[in-house]
Amino acid sequence: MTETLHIVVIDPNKDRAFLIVDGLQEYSGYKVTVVGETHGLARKLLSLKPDIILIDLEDPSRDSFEQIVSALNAAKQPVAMFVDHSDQSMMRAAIEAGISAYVVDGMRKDRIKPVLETAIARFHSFQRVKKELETTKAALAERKHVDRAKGMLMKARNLTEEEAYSLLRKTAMDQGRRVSEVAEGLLTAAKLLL
Amino acid sequence: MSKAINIGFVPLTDAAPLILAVEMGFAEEEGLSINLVREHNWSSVRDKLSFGVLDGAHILLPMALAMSLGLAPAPNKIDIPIILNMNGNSFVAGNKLTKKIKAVGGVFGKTKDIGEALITLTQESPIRVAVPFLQSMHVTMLRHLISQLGHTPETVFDFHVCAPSSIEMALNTGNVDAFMVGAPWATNAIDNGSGHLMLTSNSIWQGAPEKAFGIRRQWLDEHRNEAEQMVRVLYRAANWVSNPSNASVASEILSNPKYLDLDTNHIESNLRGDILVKSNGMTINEPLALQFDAKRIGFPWKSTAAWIAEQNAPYWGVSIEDARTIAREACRTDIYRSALESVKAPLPSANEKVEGSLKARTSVSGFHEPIFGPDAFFDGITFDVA
Repeated sequence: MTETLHIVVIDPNKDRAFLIVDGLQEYSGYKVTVVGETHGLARKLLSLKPDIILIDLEDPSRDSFEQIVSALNAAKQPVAMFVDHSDQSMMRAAIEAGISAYVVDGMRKDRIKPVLETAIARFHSFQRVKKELETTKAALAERKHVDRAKGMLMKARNLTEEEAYSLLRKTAMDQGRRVSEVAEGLLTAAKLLL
Repeated sequence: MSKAINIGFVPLTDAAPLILAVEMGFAEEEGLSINLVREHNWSSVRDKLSFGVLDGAHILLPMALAMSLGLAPAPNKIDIPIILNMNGNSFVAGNKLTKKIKAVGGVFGKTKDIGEALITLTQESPIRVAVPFLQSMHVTMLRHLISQLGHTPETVFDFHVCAPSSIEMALNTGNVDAFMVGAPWATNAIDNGSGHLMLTSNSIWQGAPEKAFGIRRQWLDEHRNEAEQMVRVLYRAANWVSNPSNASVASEILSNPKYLDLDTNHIESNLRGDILVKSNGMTINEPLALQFDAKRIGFPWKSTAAWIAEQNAPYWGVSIEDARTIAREACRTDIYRSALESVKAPLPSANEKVEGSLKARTSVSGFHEPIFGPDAFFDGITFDVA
């Protein structure tokens, strides 16, 4: 029976943090705590006594966090920066996914691996979800432009909806632009003229 | 065109040579394709360089030396073929500390005076100073100021690492008493009424390099030609930035959301050498406060890096011998020379100088105007690595 490992995820982004918590549930022997607020981090970490800390690589407060971790280390707290030269590809994968990991000195590799693998996978899936959401939002905004431009053409030139749309499409094709760009241009021009 | 080179930068005014190398077409003219990657913290620059996610970066010079000395999660040799800028950091006191310094008779802008006032005030407790990173010129310079006045830096300063973007907040919430930070963050904070300029870094050491262009040695060994092209591109871009008539265009580009994402005004005034002292608009013009002029400051002197590494050696737990050796190896004067011979850049006859010995600009053979220096320390010391 192995001892339970305590993983602390420092992430102001709750959704992403819970994806990691969720992902680790299929393994036994891990306890996960999410810290969303970096204020008073040194004290929190001292009381939480984590074995593994995961933090977003892009977090602007990460340099301060490093100072805290090295201070804990000097106070003989069991937190050391992850140094595992034997598994460069795993660390590179983590960095490319945007994660940095800090691990207790001398921890067995087979216990770290599933944690990192899960975190990497969850960071990637979070990125994908975010990308999808952004694309959907942009598409909706574009549709709004096209609808408004259609309405304007129908009124100004007395066209049917279908005629208005084919006019936009033809213009877009002639100019090698996207329909939504033409629509947006028309709306901007109209705003200036009317 | 060859494969794009991945170069990291942290959003600061002194990333200007890299950003303008791309934006003003200097890179394209050389046939170089650069992929600029904005990083949000220095640890991330270090880790991405370590693992080869980045080939090179805008980097704190001491951090590059520390990496080569093995002080990183995944150590890797980082070489320095060119210095991007000299000085540029400001030491700013919060309003509370400002009052205390005045109460003990400290005069703002006078290096020795400020140092002595801080030492006097330390009898209560150490001054808490926010800095962006410990392996930095910020920390190196402040320690030098105190140790040369006969005191132990650790008893005077308690350094708190803080991202430049939150350094002003750290001051306002009372988490620190002062900060040392690069442009344009100091001027931004002073303009907001958060603090008062104590010193600019050049008043501690006129010859202090600030950011270097750091490149993985492994990459350099495999891409010698591109590395030389890179040096030429940065040399030209930095000379372009240093011309005051380009300051408004340069600051306009730097302020773009994908680069610094900050107001142009302070970036521009700092590029012109104007440093805000107080929120009432009092400004000093100090051309040495932030220098980009590559023909004067680009050369990666081995002696300069050796001094910096030696100062940090006791704090980093490395021997002075190793610090000197690694620092000299990291400064690729060979690349600088071969890259810039063809464009008739001023090249010194040696790779090392007596640091602190140039009291004024000095000439170099083949050039009428004086080029190198001044590089004096506030306390007049000299350092000969030879």
